[in-house]
Amino acid sequence: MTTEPESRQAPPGAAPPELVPGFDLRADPGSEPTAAPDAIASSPAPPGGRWTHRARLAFRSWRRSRPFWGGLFVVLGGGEILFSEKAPLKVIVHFGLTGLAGYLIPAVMVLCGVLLVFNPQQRLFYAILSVLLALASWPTSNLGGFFLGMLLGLLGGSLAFGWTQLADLPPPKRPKQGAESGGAGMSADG
Amino acid sequence: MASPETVASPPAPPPSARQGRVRWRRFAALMIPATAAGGVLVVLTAQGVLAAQFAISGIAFTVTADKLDGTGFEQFGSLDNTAPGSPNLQSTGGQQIVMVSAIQSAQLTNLCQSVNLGAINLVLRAGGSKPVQATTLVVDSDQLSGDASFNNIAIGQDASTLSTVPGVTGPLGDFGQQADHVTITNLRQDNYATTAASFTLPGLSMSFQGSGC
Repeated sequence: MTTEPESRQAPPGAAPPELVPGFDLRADPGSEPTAAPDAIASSPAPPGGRWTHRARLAFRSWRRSRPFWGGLFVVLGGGEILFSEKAPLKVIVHFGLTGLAGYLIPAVMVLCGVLLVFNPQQRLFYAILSVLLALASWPTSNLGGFFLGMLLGLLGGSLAFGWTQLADLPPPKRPKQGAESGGAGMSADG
Repeated sequence: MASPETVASPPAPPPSARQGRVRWRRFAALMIPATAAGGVLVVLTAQGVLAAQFAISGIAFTVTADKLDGTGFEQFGSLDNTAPGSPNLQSTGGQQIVMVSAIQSAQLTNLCQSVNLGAINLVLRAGGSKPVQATTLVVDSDQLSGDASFNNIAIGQDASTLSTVPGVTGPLGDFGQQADHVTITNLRQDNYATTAASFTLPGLSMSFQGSGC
């Protein structure tokens, strides 16, 4: 399997990603878990609705510039584990380090989730760390919050790991582009 | 967006290079090994190799077992107080007597644990063929029943001097008892306060059911 090049150089003659016709971020079924806001944008704006429309667009633009859903899922996973755990400090300290780990691991998970949203430059590290912490929470914290917290953490960390900026995406296949059937050496993922 | 724009709402700006989306192959590249590792952890726990730690309080948590064989047993009474102004326990002035039972190390056969999550119960069963090994099982129960036999029991010891479970002692001046060895058959504990323990769970099965153990 050829490695998918995260090249910053588009092949000569290709337009920048945001202006390529047919390459519409909003049309991609996999990019957004919820597609509802697009339908609302075309309806007549209610009186005084212009600022809410702008605010929604601004939030959407902010949301898409970071692994938002990945970070949110990780925060929810860590929070769910913490919510399922409560015991007096005396007994937990008696368990020693493994007892404290039961609280430390979901707390760091929540921190990783927040940092995924507010510091997306380091998302690779936070994403892998979230997955490792979610796995570690199985033996230390009520079976990973009775499995739900662990699952949310794994999903969120993987979503954040898979998130890539538009500038780093491989260019799409254009079948009408003459004899360039993969001749440029780049093959987009299917 | 294929839908036509009206005059009132301005068109959305094209996506900038800073925005991005999830590439599903990359997602799978981490998700699949992570799920496999998670599966390995579950299998190890179900074989009784990996111990799982529990720390639960404030949720109704029931433990039943056919037989519990324990070394190092302590028990003392404790008075839990509800918050001032709470509508609960009006008849006793907001106080509830709970019994703290601690066992240093125990083997349980046919363990059933259930957590009451409101409308539904999460039920864990383990220890069918191979017994569950529990370490430092500390519970505050308001109901504890079973047929018990003790070895070397000292009844009426001051709760602050109990020593068979290291680190767990009661308040000074309280009634306590301890034993070197305890065997309880048909154990049933209903816990609403602390439960803390480390269990190995061979033959683990988890399910959601309407009723608990």
